[in-house]
Amino acid sequence: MDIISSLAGGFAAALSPTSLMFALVGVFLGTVVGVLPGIGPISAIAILIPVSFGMEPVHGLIMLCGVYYGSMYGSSITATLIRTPGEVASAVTVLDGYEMARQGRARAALATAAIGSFIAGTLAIVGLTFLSPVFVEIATLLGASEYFLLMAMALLLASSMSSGSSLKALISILIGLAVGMIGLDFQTGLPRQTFGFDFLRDGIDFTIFAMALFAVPEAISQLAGKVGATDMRSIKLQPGPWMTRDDWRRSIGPWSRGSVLGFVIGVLPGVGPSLASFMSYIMEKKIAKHPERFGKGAIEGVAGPEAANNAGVGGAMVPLFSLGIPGSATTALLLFVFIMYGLQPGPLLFTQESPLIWTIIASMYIGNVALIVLNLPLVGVFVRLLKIPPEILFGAILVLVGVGTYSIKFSLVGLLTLGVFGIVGYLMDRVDIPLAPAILALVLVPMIEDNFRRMLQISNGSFAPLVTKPLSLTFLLLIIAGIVGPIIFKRVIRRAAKPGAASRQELSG
Amino acid sequence: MKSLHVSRRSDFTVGWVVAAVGLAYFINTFFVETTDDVVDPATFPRIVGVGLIVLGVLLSLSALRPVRQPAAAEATAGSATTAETTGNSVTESHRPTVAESAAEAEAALEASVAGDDAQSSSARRLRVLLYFAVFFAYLLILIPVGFLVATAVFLFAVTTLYARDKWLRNIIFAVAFSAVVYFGFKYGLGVFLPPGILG
Repeated sequence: MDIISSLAGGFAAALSPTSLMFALVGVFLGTVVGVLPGIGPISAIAILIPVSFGMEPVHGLIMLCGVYYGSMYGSSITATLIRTPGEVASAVTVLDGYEMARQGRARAALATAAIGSFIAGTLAIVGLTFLSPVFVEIATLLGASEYFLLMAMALLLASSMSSGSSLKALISILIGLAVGMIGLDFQTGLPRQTFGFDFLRDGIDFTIFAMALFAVPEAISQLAGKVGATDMRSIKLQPGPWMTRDDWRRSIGPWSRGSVLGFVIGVLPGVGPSLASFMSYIMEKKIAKHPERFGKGAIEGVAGPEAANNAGVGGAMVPLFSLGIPGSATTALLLFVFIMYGLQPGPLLFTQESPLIWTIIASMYIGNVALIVLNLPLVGVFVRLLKIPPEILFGAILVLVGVGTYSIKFSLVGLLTLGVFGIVGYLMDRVDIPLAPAILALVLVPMIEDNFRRMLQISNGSFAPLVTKPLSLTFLLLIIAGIVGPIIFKRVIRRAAKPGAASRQELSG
Repeated sequence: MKSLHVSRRSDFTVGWVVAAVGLAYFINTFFVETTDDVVDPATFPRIVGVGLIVLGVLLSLSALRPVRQPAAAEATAGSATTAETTGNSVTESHRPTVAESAAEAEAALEASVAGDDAQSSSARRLRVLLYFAVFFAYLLILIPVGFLVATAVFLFAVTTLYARDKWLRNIIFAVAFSAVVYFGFKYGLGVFLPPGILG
């Protein structure tokens, strides 16, 4: 009952006109960001961080959370209409969503994505509401060694679940850690890894790093003529029913399965919503009565993944709020925003800042309603955004990251940091080193190192706590399973995928 | 197969670069003041430096390994090209190629970009350099020249490099956008951007 009354209090605050407005603004901006290919939630949140400096923490957080789930939905619009996912989580939506659009059923595809996102998003927030307090209880049992392992697990899971080469993902993590250690050591105050440069004593600012890695390389490569970027063969929305009775019947199953799957995957530290949408697509195809319809405009192939990725967002908030451990690069950014406002997510937040956290949770319910109320009628408006010429869009983005950086550091050094890491990010992207693990690692540096040191200080330099404490041992075994598991999984998939080569040919033809 | 060759060659180079950076990072830890603690400020950076060296070498060596499975190799080459279109840099967790459908998604996306792979990649490289140069110039002049003028010039340069014929639209956009951002930040958010020569 305690949860209900806390949540009611949260709703009372979240329904105030200003909070409502920020929830709406967040969702709207998020959708815009999701629609525009080339700008993801990470760039958007990073650019908005300086803007949210002056806001009340609760308003800033409401808005930025809204950006996150709004963008998840927005990217399905682009995936469906121009065959370009605004965001990787919608990459599988391209398969059936674009086919549906070609068959004149774009409205049905967009509707099932919107309604599925709403249902899944709301269910995930219900899960967040009731699971977070449980996690908070668990968190009181965790000591330094457990926290250290949990964060190591988040990093390793994030890399092993990501793109092809896990070697490159690990390199990305180390790059993030290496950059994070530049500056003054937080325990002793001694400068380290400054390579003799005084201006490196302050360290590399997280927001600047995120903008440099995500916004700058993307903008520059789009301007330089990214392959396929200017070629937007947009399919027009045709009038017609949003969803037929048959569409509803076929969507309900994928929506509910996607919600559960997405939430569970989202809760795992280190695994973002993208994996959830891929898993959901595979699952729907496996259990479908007519798997041959997939890839040719099956509504199930849109309903499931779109539900799953929005549920994944809600799931990812659970470890963020209750343990202070971000599950993905985007939640890493949100964690940074909390810290920027002087709040440390984790068990204490629920006791010390209870009204704030419940207001944010309540605003997520509202944001999900706003998402569907805004999006279904306004989809035509969002589609028109795709007509913005790339030079205007990406020129403007480069200016905004410059302004953002200036308002963080007020110095030339800050601006040059942006430029230099922009080049680093561009090169990493060119050679297929994923960028997200580096961001996640950078934000975790202080916490992971602090817990590691505390563990060793408590045990007088012995690593024994890692294996002698039952919870630590469990986490350690999970980490090993997390490393070995995907390797086996990849083998199995590779074997299973071989007969699928024929259907691939069909797809591309 | 040709693109595969290129990607493996680049892996070889990238590996050595990573290892070299790791070595420099590792060496630098010896200039950090040490303390009596079990873990001093240099311990963690040292671990990271060694990690970079080891992983870099491993990456280089893996590029030398002979290709056994052509099917898998093809998938790698595919993901290398589609990394461009899926918006590799804007995502929060990367394309999980563990999934069968991921491969399908990539195949579908690949189809949409097929046919223009190496269309003058050197010309493209030149344009990337050019835009980076313009961006750096902007970052350098932003404070001394001031936000309004620097931004208007930067935006005009960027848009005109991209679309020369639309110069009038470019001027209007460059001036209007700079003004909106400047006054928006000044009066709306209370952030004062550098006034520079106008101040």
